[in-house]
Amino acid sequence: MDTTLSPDDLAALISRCTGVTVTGEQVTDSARTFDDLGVDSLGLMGVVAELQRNHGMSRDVELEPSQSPRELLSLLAGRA
Amino acid sequence: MTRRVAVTGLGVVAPGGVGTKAFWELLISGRTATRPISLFDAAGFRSRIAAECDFDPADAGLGPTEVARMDRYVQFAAVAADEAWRQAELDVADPWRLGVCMGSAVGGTTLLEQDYVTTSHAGARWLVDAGLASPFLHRVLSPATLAAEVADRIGACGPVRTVSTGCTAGLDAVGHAARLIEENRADVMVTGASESPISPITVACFDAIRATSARNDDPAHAARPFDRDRDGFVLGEGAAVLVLEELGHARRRGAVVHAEVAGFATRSNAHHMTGLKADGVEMAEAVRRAMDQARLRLDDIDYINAHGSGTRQNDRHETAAFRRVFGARAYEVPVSSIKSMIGHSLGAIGSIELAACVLALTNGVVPPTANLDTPDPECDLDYVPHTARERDLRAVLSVGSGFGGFQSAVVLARGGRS
Amino acid sequence: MSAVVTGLGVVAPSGIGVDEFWPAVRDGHVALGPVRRIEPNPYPVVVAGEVDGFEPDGWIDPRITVQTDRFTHFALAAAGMALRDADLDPATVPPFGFGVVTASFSGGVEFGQREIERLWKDGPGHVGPYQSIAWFYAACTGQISIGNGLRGPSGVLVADEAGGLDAFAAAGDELRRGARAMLVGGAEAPFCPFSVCCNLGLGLLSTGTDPATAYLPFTAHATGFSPAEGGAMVVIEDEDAARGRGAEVRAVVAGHCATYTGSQHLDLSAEGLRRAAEGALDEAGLDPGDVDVVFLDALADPRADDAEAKAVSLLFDERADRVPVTAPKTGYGRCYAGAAVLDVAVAVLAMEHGEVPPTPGVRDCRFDFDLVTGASRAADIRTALVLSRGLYGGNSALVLRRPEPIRGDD
Repeated sequence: MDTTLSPDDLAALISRCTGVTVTGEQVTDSARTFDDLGVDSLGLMGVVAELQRNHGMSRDVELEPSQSPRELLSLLAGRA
Repeated sequence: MTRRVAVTGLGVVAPGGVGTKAFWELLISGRTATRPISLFDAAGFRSRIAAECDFDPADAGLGPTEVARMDRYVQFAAVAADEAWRQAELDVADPWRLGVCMGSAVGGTTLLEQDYVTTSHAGARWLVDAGLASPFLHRVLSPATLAAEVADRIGACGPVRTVSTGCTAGLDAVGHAARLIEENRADVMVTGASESPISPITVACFDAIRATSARNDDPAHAARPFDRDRDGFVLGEGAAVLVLEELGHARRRGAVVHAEVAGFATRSNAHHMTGLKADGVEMAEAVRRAMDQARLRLDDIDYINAHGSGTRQNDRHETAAFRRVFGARAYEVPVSSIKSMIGHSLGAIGSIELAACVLALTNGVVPPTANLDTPDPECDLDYVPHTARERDLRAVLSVGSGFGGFQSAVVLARGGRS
Repeated sequence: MSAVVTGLGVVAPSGIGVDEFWPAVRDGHVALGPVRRIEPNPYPVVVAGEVDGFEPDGWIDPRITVQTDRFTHFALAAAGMALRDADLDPATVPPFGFGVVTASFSGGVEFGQREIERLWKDGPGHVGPYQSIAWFYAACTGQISIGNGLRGPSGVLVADEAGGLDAFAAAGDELRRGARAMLVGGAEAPFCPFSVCCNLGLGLLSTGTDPATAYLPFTAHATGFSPAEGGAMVVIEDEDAARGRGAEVRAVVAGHCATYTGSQHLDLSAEGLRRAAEGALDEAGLDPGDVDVVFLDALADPRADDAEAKAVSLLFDERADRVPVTAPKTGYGRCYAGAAVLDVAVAVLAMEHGEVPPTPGVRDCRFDFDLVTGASRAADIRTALVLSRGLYGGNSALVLRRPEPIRGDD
């Protein structure tokens, strides 16, 4: 299981799961929330589920669209 | 001349019992029918509880060929339709004026999934093996067959169709059937809704969006609408069928009029497929338009049957909608959610709730909201916790809310009003 | 009824958009071809109508594309075209005054098969969050409402092809009750292995291998219909509202009626279709003698064709061999919930252009009615009758009229 994920990788994963074009730069900007990016609650659930299945993220993680991709990045295994 | 719509027959298959009598006894007892899922092995799923029907199709009167042909949700509908049709004691003179309108959200998922597993070798093949399919598989792809099966049972030759607006389908089907009578497209409509969604794919769907309760160690207390400690809805199953009849048609033959379908409206939030705005504006609009059609004043509503699914956003959304429409009166009208007892059977529940409303009107009893121990502070209405309440009811409102943003409202009035 | 058509949006094997679609239909172009969406195709249905070249990009927000099935892509694209065609900005319609009714049949089957495969191959946690909103039958109505800000009355009717006509009546009833505009229609995308496997069981799909001869209703070679994907959305408005905003009224939705003659008895649909047609004409205040063209259901099953021909014969009596009838769908296939809506679109275009499009491919009609074949036929069409049946027993009819010019205008 791949437990490391670069900002660019995370951005690509978000784009694939939600249809929103996201850059690596955007996911490291702590001021930018999922809401700001246009990712809604369903899309975010898909992202989280994908990270839990394939990137070792804890099953207990739940995120709101008012949080930022940067927070998500920091929650990933080995980064917290 | 306005054509009015009477309810002259009722049939129910619900968790806790087959038949109207068993259903009503469960509701007024305040018991809950939620239990660990027995219809399939739910190990590995997030939510492993549901409100299931103890339903034996043979005991319920269906023959072996019917059982083979019908998916579980069609079996429910057939049995509920038979009960309603018997009760209505209707000898229809003109079958071309008799129609059927049935609701369902997910249709024949149970059999569809079973056959998928067989033909795909448990998901191993994208190009499924058509040679392994059941001969009845084509009848479960589309819920068009739900209305057709009911129509075949009663000999309907008028408008026959299924309404599939997701979780408001049970209200919308009855509302649409009433419209067809009002618009003089039919004189009698057999209408209602059915669902048997307790199958792996549907349970997994709701797992994926964390919509269902994961209180797996305490099923009886899992469905907790309006309660602070709720954690989602509990999946249910079942069917309810109503016989609707043009009021003059019913009166001329001396039929017992249990209630009148006085108003119906549906509106959309155009906001999000699953999300609700907190203000409840669209549900409030649907309620107002249904009230307009019923020509009732807000004070005439003596009971509100809530959608009450037990998700935080729903409970707050509809509480806001009731406050918006009824103002101070919202605090005086009892509001309850029978989903606390029989779960949320998706497209069927709206019709099952209308059946409960008819029984509430005729018995003068408001069913309770089970498991409401500590109300959510944002939900400050009278939700009739735990215990049914006797009350003289003149008119009742039932609302529903569903994926797609649909918000529906039906107003039922006591039979016999002038 | 005071419902009028002001906009058409079409996504069909014969063309995307009315400008592509109408010339192809008028000229009797055959858009059927080998099934390509299932490769390799192990199923006995090999000829179908596919919407070649349709990709969601450019039509649909990528955020919506990932959460929807192809049938919803069609419906969203068609809805957008219909609104543009009607030159109607939903924001100009009063809140709650604009709703959506779609006909639905098999739902988001391809999306659904992908997700159910994940469940059974990989386990419960592998089903994605969009399955719950992509697969169900209400996906198109919901997404069209959300995508266009339509907060009015919504509906989803399921009665196979006939549901497409029933949707016009339901939407028309809403207009009479205060709505100003409605988007009505339906779409289908039935080409994934599992749904083809389901549809095979009915025994009404053509197994012919030559696109030129696979779908030949009303002939001795009728062996079922060729399935298609696609559909149409239509803007209908309250006539006063439409005229008030200066919109061009394209057609009047004048009458509808639906009957049911049993899910196992195609032969009984003769009586069912006749009564539906008479009921629809009655609602329109017309007689069979007023009908200038009939768009046929054309199931291409010998019993079904017999029944439909008999319905036409009963309806028109001694005039039965003189009323032009046609089935343009033999050129592009039958797309279930979208099929009758496409017929409505063709009927509106036929009235506007004064031409009855032909029944492509059909030559030796075995019935004594005036089936238009070969090339289109010029005709002054004031009243068009659309007939449709559902695979499970419904019969519906819709009457469309050419709008009368308003006297005293200007």
